[in-house]
Amino acid sequence: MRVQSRAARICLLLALSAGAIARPCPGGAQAAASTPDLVQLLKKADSLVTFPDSDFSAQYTFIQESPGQGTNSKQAMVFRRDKNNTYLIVIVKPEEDKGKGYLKSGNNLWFYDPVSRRFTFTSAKDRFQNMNARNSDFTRSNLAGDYKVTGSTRQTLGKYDCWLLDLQATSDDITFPKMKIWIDESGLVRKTEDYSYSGQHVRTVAFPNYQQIGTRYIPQTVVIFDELRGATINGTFVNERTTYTIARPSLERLPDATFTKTWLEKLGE
Amino acid sequence: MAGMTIQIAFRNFTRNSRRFILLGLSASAGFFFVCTVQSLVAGLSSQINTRGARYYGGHVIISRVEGAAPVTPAAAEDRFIGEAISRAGIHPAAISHRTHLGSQGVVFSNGESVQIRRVIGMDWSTEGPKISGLQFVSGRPEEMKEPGGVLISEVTARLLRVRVGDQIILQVNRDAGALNTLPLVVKAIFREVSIFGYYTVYMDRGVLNRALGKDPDSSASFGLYLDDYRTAGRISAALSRALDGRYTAVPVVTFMPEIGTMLKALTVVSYGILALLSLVIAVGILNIYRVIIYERTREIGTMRAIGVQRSQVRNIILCEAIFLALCSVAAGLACSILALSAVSQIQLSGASGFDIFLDRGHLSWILYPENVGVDAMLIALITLFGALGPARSAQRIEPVVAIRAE
Repeated sequence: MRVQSRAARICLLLALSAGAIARPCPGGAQAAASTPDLVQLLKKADSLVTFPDSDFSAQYTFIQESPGQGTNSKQAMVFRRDKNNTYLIVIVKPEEDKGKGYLKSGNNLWFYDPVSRRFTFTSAKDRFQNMNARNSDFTRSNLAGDYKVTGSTRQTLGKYDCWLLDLQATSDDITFPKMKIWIDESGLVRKTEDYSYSGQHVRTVAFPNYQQIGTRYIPQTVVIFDELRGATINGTFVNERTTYTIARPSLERLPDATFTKTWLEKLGE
Repeated sequence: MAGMTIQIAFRNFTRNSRRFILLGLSASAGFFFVCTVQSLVAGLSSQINTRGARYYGGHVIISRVEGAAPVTPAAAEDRFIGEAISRAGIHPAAISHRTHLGSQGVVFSNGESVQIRRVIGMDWSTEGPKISGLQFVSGRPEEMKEPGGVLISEVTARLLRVRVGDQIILQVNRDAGALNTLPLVVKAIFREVSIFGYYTVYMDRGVLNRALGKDPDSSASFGLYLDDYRTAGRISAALSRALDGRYTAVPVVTFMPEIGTMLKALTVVSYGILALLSLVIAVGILNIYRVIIYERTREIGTMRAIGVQRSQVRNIILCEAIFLALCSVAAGLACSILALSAVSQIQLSGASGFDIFLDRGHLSWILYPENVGVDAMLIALITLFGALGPARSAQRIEPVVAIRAE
């Protein structure tokens, strides 16, 4: 019952959102009846949401809904430079968290607390601000490098005709060792199911709509359902979830100083 | 001669018991106080060490020295450490092998999650009797013999809304970082104080190792459970030498520096009190004995007149002091045991911050025979020291002068 209701909810969410946005069709992709090159499919999915030739910045608004406990919202500015695999995130709301930030540089990720004025090492695998997103969700997409395809099938997801791929991590340092991913005809990821090493379904992520910036795409809304956290309300299990919306996206070049500890400290003042 | 001296001294002591009451009371009060404080400190220390040993895996913890030697297979490590223990002449009550995880473990059930401060992978076959010392509120901990079980705290069980027999999911990160989960069945629920238990789970080491992507037989640390935790410092030093710098052995209190410092402070305070009391008792005895000797001048003069030697007079008085000390020690010890027994009946569970020292909500105390012996010896020496001056004065009393005295 729990799985069925969740699947229905996601389909509903996708179906509703599908009609509400102008659906992009990058590359003029045609629905292919035959199995495409699946690695190429992953590479395309990566390339559509990665910005190797420019920087990226946007305002992210997070709303965490914990059944029976209310909601919690945060707003952050995200700055990405994919060619260097770096990002900087600074919390701007609420007031008590203002100035807290994350700086990723290569494989290092620091968390900055403006109260103590200290940087501490944190992990990309950790939850972002105790929400259902993980720190690794903000980095550039590297599905083709991180995973190999172990199975594929076609499946309709709401209005989208998708390739459902079973992925397995190519190394033991990838947060989710197994994943199911739905990629639509245009090469955009519409949904993922993330699994632990032992095969436990730990979260579902839905990408109901995207916004186009130049030749690239950025999700407009991302909904993350935590499969292990939630509460039973009126006899039905309701998952804890985090929805984040991405507004004011920009591919303008950012000063190099943006991706430094000094800048994060300055933002925290 | 000596027998007669003791006999006379005993007769004098019993016949003049009223004169010694004040002295006896002060000496027994001193002994009672010191004995009680030391027993309580010993009880607190024992509680901390017992809890620490369960939490960290022994009274002495052996860890690898990073980079000191290449990582060897589990069996070779076991052999090396076993040989070092034999070389050091140590006979531990049990040897533990543990894998533990810091604050990266999370347990889930019913949609609730609890961040676990310490996930402990241990072998029930060797540590079962020690872990069984936890206060279990439900379940059968002995079922931990079967892998796939877990012991959780009452606090965690309440947060997860689980009972014995329910399944929980433990989420960990494998060594390289990948997320892993494993189902575990709650075998028993224990009640333990905050820092040692609220967010601690005990599970099978092999199961945890596999979840972390390690060799099932590997261990992150080894530990020795000792019959007497007070030997942990000495044994750690001896074992460290035998481990040739490849591993270090430290007493478990090293992992609890604040508590260790507090226990040391309490011990120092108890010895400080002992020193102060000794001084007060010595001065008191000296003064009161002077009065007693003065009151007994005629009696001493009579003894001297009928042929008792000067040295014999001194010895009689010193013997009386020893009888006094023995009676004071016996009375002080009896009162101490009574008081400690009464105090340990009081339920102190609500005492916030103090619970780490309590045993199931009660103060625990230990009366070590060697401590009692040392304290008794000290009281005897102080009494003798206090009586020595007046005894010397008494032996110098001239019989004629003494008999003439009013």
